[in-house]
Amino acid sequence: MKNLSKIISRYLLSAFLVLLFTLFLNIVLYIVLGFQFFRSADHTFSYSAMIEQELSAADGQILLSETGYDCLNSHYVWAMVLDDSGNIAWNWNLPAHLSHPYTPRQIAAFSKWYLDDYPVTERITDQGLLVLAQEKYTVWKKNIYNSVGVVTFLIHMVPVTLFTNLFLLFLMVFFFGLRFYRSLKILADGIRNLSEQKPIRLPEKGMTELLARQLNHTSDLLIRQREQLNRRDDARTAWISGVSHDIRTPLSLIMGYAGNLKEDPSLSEEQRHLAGLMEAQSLQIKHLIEDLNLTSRLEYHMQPLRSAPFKPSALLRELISHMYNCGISKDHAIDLYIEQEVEQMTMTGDSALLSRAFSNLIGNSIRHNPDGCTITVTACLTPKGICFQAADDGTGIPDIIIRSLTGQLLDMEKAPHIMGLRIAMQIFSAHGWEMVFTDKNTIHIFGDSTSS
Amino acid sequence: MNHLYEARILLVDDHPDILKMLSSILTRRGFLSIRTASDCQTARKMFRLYEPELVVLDIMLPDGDGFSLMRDLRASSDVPVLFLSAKDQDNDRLLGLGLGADDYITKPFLPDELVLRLSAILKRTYFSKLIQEPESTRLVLGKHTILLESGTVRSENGETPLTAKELALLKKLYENRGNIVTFDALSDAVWGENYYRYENTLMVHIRRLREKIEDDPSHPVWLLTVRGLGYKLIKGD
Repeated sequence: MKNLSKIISRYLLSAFLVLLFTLFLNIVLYIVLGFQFFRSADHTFSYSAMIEQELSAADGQILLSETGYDCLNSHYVWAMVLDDSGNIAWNWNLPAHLSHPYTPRQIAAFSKWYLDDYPVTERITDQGLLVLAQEKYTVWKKNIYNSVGVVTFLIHMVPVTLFTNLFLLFLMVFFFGLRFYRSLKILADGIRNLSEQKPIRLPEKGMTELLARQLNHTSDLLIRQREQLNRRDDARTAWISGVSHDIRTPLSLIMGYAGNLKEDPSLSEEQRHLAGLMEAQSLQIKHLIEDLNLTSRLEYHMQPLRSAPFKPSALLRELISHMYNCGISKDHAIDLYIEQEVEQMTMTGDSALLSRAFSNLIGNSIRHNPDGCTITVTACLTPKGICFQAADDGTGIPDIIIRSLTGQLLDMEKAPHIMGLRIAMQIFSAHGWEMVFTDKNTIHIFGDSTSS
Repeated sequence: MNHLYEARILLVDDHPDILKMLSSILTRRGFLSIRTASDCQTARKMFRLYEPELVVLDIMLPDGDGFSLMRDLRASSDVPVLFLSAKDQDNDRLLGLGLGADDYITKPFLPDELVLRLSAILKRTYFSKLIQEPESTRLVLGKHTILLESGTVRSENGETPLTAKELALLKKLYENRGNIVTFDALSDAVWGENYYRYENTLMVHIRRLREKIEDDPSHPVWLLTVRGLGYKLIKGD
């Protein structure tokens, strides 16, 4: 969800930057164009000023220099000079119908508007009123009058309008962003649920319709696949359970009769010894069946955890005492070290299964070091939670077994059939704990501190 | 019934070979009166006619299950029941024991274990008075004799009384004589479940107990400390 908020805030920031950039571009454009406009307006002004300068009077006659005529030819269609009485004192290319005296009313009219649709420019000269006409329909001419208050108001309104527009635009961007966020949030929730293996049914509408449909389809596929896998796992576990159940009855007969023969005084010592071996091996098969059942149930999450509060220190002491009480050889020793913090600790878990897991670890050390070894079990508290260590000074666990248990062995056909450590690993994993092979003689188990 | 081996035992299992083998095991170990049934109907009939003093029950039977059969039997009698089943799931075990069964053994089983457990049930049910023999309340540790009933230690110097906690500790150790009893089990026996932070107090009580039962409390020979685990009461000769 953090990612989605990040995406949306980035989107809003980008939109805001785009707005600012557009505004900046507009301002620059207006400045450039305005400058151009004023420059061209200035030209028109300067042409009329130049002609005014080129005008002169000699002997009551008005004269225009060559330069003045060149300028007139280039930029105007006709020109005239009116004296103070409104009579034409001089003209150039003046159309015949305009060649007449002008009353003050006519002069006032064309100075504001047009003269026969000709846009005219007037300049007051020493010789009279110079009137210069440009081509019809080439110049827009308008006199603007307004009160200073209105102009001031308009000037003040420019930034207000600008910022109001910006605010409205940003509000719209935010609104669309929010709508987008809501649509994406549904998708993001869906993807998160999918990753947590939860089924989803997203509404297929709006801008995310296609994506939602594809996610729904993916969810359906995953549910179907999971159901198939579960059915297969159930069938496998049921099959193992069924087979082990079926083996139990004939094995009971073998063990029972072997036990009887072992005690039969009519048999020789050797025969009774062999019967005892049969009984011991049958017991071994029984334990293998139980382990097979347990590992299969743990593998497919069919072993219910009977979680209850327990003291890890008491569990370890009870287990190791039980092992001593059941009898271990003189060559083996199990040392237990528990940190004071762990002594006070209560955790939650299936203590019977956890005891079994630790028993497997210690039993493994004893079994694979028949000449004896010292096994050291420690429990301490780390910032991340409880940490158990089971170490021995014996031969250590072969590398191939470690690689097989940690999934590093690529060729599974070469994987050794090791049950005890696998079950221990599965039990810890079922509790959310982690079993790590630190080296061939040391195993660390990290328990979740939240379960404490 | 004057003796354990005179107990009338009814074996119920759908497998005739298992019934035959069970009969053989029990007969060899001295049990004299054994009957068998291979289904619920026969078992009910045998139960009425034979009035067994212990029933060994399988769970999966052709015309019903051992749990229902046990409920029926228990409706009219308090006969002890031992389940002997190939079902090894915790749920089945808990269901059987929860219904009031006296024990639950999974197949395959060691014949000796079956006989021991079966005998223990019979002793508990019918010979409980015999178990509490006066001899069992007397604990002899070298020159010291502990009378558990009166909570006193008798020695050459006379009688020394044990405190309630010392007696509780000693009883717990005596019940598990020869085995290590953890600090936790001892504390639990004395202070109950919430025994945290009593480790030092436990050590004090053990030291005082040693002063009463050991010739040289600094070098104990009966009540030994097992480092990191607990204490052990050494078995006598």
